This record gives sequence, C-alpha cells and structure tokens, in this order.
Amino acid sequence: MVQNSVKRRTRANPFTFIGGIIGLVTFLVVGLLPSLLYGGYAGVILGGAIFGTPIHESIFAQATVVLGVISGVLAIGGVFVLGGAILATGAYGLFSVIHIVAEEKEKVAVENVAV
Amino acid sequence: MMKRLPLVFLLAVAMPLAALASQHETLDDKRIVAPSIDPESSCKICHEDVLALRQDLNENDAHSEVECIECHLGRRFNPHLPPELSDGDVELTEQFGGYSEHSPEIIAGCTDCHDEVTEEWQESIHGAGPETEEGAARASCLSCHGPLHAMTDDPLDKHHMAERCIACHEFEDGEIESSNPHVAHTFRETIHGKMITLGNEDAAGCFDCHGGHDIHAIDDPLSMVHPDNKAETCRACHEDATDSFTAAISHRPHTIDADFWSWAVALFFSCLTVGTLLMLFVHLGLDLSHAIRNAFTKGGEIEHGPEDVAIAADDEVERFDGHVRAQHAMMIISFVTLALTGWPLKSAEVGVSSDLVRILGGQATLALVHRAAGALLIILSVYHLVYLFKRWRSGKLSTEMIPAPEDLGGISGNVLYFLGLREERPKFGKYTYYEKFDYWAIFWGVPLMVGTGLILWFPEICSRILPGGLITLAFIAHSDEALLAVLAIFLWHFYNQHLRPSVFPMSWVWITGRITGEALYDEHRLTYEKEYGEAPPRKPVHESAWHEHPFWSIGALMVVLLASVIVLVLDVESLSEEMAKLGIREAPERHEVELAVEEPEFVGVYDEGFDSWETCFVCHNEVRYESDEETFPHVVHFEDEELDDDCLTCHESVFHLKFVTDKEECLDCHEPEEIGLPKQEPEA
Repeated sequence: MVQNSVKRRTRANPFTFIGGIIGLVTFLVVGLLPSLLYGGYAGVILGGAIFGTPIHESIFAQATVVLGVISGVLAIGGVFVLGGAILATGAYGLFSVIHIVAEEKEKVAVENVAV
Repeated sequence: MMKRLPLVFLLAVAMPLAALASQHETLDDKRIVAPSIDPESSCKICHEDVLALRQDLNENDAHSEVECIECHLGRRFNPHLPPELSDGDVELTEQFGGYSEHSPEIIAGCTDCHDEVTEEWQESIHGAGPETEEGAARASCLSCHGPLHAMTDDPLDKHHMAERCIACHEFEDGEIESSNPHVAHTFRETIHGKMITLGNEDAAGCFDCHGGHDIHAIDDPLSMVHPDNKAETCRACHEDATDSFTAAISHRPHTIDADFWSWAVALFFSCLTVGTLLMLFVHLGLDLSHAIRNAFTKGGEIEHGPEDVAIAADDEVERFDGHVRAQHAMMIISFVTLALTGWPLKSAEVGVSSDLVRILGGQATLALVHRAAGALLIILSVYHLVYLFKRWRSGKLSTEMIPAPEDLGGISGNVLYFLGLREERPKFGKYTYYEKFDYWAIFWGVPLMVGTGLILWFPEICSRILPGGLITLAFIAHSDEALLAVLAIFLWHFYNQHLRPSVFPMSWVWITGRITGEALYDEHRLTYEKEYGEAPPRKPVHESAWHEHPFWSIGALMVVLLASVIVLVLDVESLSEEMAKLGIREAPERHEVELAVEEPEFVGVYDEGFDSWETCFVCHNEVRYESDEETFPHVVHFEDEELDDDCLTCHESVFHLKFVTDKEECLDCHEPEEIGLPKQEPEA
C-alpha cells in the first residue's frame, strides 16, 4: 500500500447519501418489477440447465428460481442505489465547481471595484 | 304489366352481376356484388373496427389499397355466410365465412393477385405436403402471413413471422413423425432467434434459411438447408461461411443425447453460477446480520487510540494509484455497457427486453455498442498486463493479490466473527479474500469473455481454424459467464465495497484512491500495523453525521428486502396488469400471435332494431334510386312508409342468400293472380 501522505478525509457529503436514497426509491418505483422478471428468468435458465426443461415442481428447481428472483432484485437494486449515489456525487462535484468559479469571479469583481 | 314486374326486377339485378362475372372468371355463380357498393362507405357501416384495423396497416403494405370486395368477392370468403352452410362450424363462419384458412376458396382470394408465387407454394412442402385433417394444404397464405385485417406491421415482420412458424412447428416429441419437435425453442435460443425477437430485421428468420414460398423438407435436395445447399444458404449473409461454420447452426437441443458438449457447458456454468450465488448469499447474510447486531449493541466499534498515534481514524492514506483507478474506471464503463447491451439479448424472451432495446436505440445499435465496449475491455486487459509488467520490471509488483493458504483462515475467521463466535475480526493484508475473489473472478472471466466474444464476433474466420461446433459452445459460455459476472459484481462487489452499512451508499476509494485510517485498521490490519503499529487510530475529530449512521443504511436495505417480499407475495401478474392500466408499462402481449383472423363479431344489425330499408340501401341504393313502380313496385310503399314489411320479408336473411328467384315468397302477401301465377285450386 502506498501510504505517502496523510490527508483529511474528503468524502461525506449529504449529496451522496441522498442520491443513494433517491436511487433506492427510483428502484422501488420503476426497477422492482423488471428486476423480479429478469431475476426469475435467470432462475429459470439456471434451473432449466441443471434440472432439465421444462422445469419440474421439485423443491430444488423452485429454490433455484427463487434464488434467481432474489439475486435479480438485490443486484438491480444495488445498481440503482450506487448509480444514484454516483450521479448525486457528480452533481455535488459540479455544484462545487460552479460555486468555486462563482466565488472567484465575485472576488475578482470586488478587487476590480476596489482598484 | 304487373305480371312482368318480377321478371324485370330480376333482370335488373342479374344483368349487372352478369357483366361483373364476365370480368372475373373466378367468381362463383351465387355472388352478390351490387354495382353501387362503395366499400369505404358501405362496409364501414357495420365493420368500422375492421376498417380501423386496415387504416393502421403499414403504408408499404399493398393491401392498404385493396378494397374489401376485391377479396370478399361474392360468396368466396364471404363472412356473411350463414352457419348452416359451413357444416355447423360457427367459428369458421365467423373467421372465414365458412371456410378454413386452407380452403382453396380462401387461397384463391390471395393467388388471384399473387399468382407469381402460387406455383412455388404449390410445389413446396406447405402446398404439396401431406394433407391436414381438414383435407387442405399444410400451411396456406394466412397460416404464415397472418390475419390481414389485424396486420398492423410489415407482413414480412420476422418476429411475427417466426412466431407463426413456431405456432405450427411447436409440438411434442413424436407428435409428427420425422419432424424435429425442438424447432421452436431451439430457434428462440439461437442468436438469430434472439435478435429477431428484439426487432432486428437484418437477422435471419425462418424463411431466410428454409425458404419462403418454395420451402421444402430438409431431406429434399431442393431444400435450402439440405446438407448440399446449407453452406450456400448461409453465405447469403455470412459470405465466408464454410461447411464447418454451418455445423454450428442447427435446431439441436442442448441435451445430453442431442448435443453433449453444449449440455455439459451449460450445466457447468449453471452449477457454477448457482454455487457461487449460494456462497455469496451466505456470506452476505452473515455480514449483514453482524452489521445489524452491531448497530444495536455498538459492540463492534473500534476503540480509538491515544493522541500520539500517527494516524487519525478520519485521516486518509493512498490505497490505489492513478493507473489502478484509471483501469477501474475503464472497467466500470466497459462492464456496465456490456451488461446493459448484452443482457437484453440473453433475456430476449422477457417482454421488458424489447422495450429496453427500443429505448436504447434498437438491437443493431446495441450490438455495435456492445462490440465497442468489448474492444474497450480488450484495451483494458492489455493496459493491465503492461501495468503489471512495468511494476514487475521496477520491482514494485505486489504479490499480495495472489491467493494464499492464509485466506482460508481469513474466511473461517471472518465467518466466526460474523456469527459472534470470535471477538475480533481476522487480520487481513492489503487485499482481503473477498477482494481477491473479485480480482481473480475478473482475471478468469475477461479472457473467457473476450475469447468467446471474438469467436461470436468473427464466426466465419474462427470456423476456418476451429471446429464449427465451438461457435455454439462459445455462445453458451459467453452468455452464461456474463450472467455469473453480472450477478457477482452487482451483488458481491457492490455490497462488499459500497453497500455495506459502514460505507453505504458508496465508497470513495475508487474515486480518490484513498482510504481512511479507521477503514485501514478495520479491514487491512496487517498493513496498518506494518505502517503505524498496533495501536488503533485516534478518535475522529468530529462526530459522525446523521447520514453516516449505519441505522439508516440498514433501514434502507430492509426496505428493499421488505418490498421484495411484499411483491413476491402479491400476484406479480396482476400487479403487471395494474401497472399496464396505469400506463406505467405496456401489457405483456407482444408475443401473442393470433392465427385466426380477427374479424369483428357480426352482431347483426337485424338484432338491434334493424331498419332493413335504410340499412340495405347503404349498399343496395340502386334499389331505391334506380327502381320505379314498374321495375320494383314496392318502392312506392317504403317511400310513403306504408309498407309494414321490409327487405327481409322477401330476402329473408341478412346473410344475402335469399334470392327471389321464384315467386314463392310473393305468395306470402299476394294472391297468385296478382303476380301472374295461375290461381291455385283449393285442395279437395
């Protein structure tokens, strides 16, 4: 591990967390049903390859489908949450840059007025 | 004069019909086509829904210019045929006016105009093959081209065409002698079938390989897929196709008997995926339960060190250099793009995939983007190998990523820690066992995905070097490994690195390349102790913000799980329908193909307060305007509204069948002598 210099932590802005929550809500609204479908489909594919098609009503085959459904929901849910956090962090970064640029401009303007 | 009126009336009706018959030799002698009929206005009176369907026809469809009566000539294909003339088959009556879709009368309705394909079809297996139970052709025009009235797309739309092929060719094993019962589902599983399902019209459909109107049995030398002709057929799309290449294209199912290697590869990857998922879920569940327990007991928090410790809990030190972060960024872009553009193809049969593909720009566009992302992955692989080589040359290459026996101790120790059977977390070096899992999963997965992807990208070239059967195996391996990779990354990597309660909702390491002293101490203790000694980092200089509290992270995850359970308990299908009603998504009806012509149910205006005069005159207005008291004496009565009877009094039925060919009907109202018949003598 390269431990050259120690710096103060730079993370922890509310945007990241709020973005994650927005991502979660978005997932519950628009992503939950497709993720159930896709997860179930993946489960059927896996169950079909292991237990043969058409899938019989054995407990293991059904468990495989359920495993696929849960995997689909958690995987897609994770994508939405992390995606929301990343987008919000990006927005925060952009906001910060704009804010800094505006402050610089204001500072220059004040100096020009003073001159 | 009165005696001649019926004769004159009959002549008035018959002469135009005779003139029309001379123009159309195929008309039968019982047709009724009134010369004054304007289909656009007349048929519309009762068949608005049919005309509405036809107005939706594609502009390029030649039938949009075809008038109703051009197909519905006379009694041929006449939906007004009464059930008693269709052998009691009411369904057929409603669909085809008493005829099945294979009936010569119906076929003739098409071949009158499309005579250029008639001969081809008649000699094909569909036209000349063994007869069906109905005693007609195996597959006729409507069998393949679908219901004309309901056709709202290009008649050559390959997806619907394939579904219509499948509708006939999907049967149980042995149901049809010497026929392959796996044609339907094996086609859906091929790259061609998936692309067509997603709307790519450039992909090969059934008729591209097997022929259209000139389709023949596979063992017929005339067949396009006969072994002697198969390579030539493939070369229509794949210019460099060889015999080895064509071996990869078949309707063999992936079963142990039919295709052992395909079966084995599919089974291997499925078992690997399920086994990996089970392992991940066990680990994830243990970790999450431990985190929840800690959130309420506070027992797992680090006891922070004294002031003189070299690093504070909140301080950050570098963990990844710029090259690693650049490679990670490239991996994110390529992986997410590959997953997003590849998953719809794998799950083409799921209705949502078609919508997703449409939103993302179409299947052809996705294929292009997918290959671009694959190329980026290849570049990334080269970049990584060069990076490792340069590190090795400069003596900086770390061997800590290589799996070691200590990792087994780390796994068992961590599990015991999660279960509360061990007080302290095991000490890990720079990379924990689950991070090594991430890395080596990708290290094994990328060459596999790139290799199989290249085979699929350049199948003709590969088939010259390698056995053609490898293309099929590459397709299975590429698809199944992708599923494993997607689930592993989105579940395992995302949770361990970003969604754990302590870092939720995102770790910043991949952006800043830095890690906090607290995280270093907690997760990479060996590295921490090597740099800073055994004392834990100093206490943070500020209190944790509300959003950093693990309770909220756990709460969010609980909401996800709870919502999942609720939806699972609910009937998903009904939920989908409810969403469709709300307009959130389309109802899942894309794959339903109705072979039957969607004729509107003939409710019979007669049953709804039928005013036969006005209704019949819509089409037969010549009776009103071209008749006078001489040719049609009743005209004076309906103009004066003095006649209680109507058209049906004589013509009996709205089915257009009752002709006043003799004067029997007249005797219901008139005395024989009134209409020129000899007076009937009363029976003795």
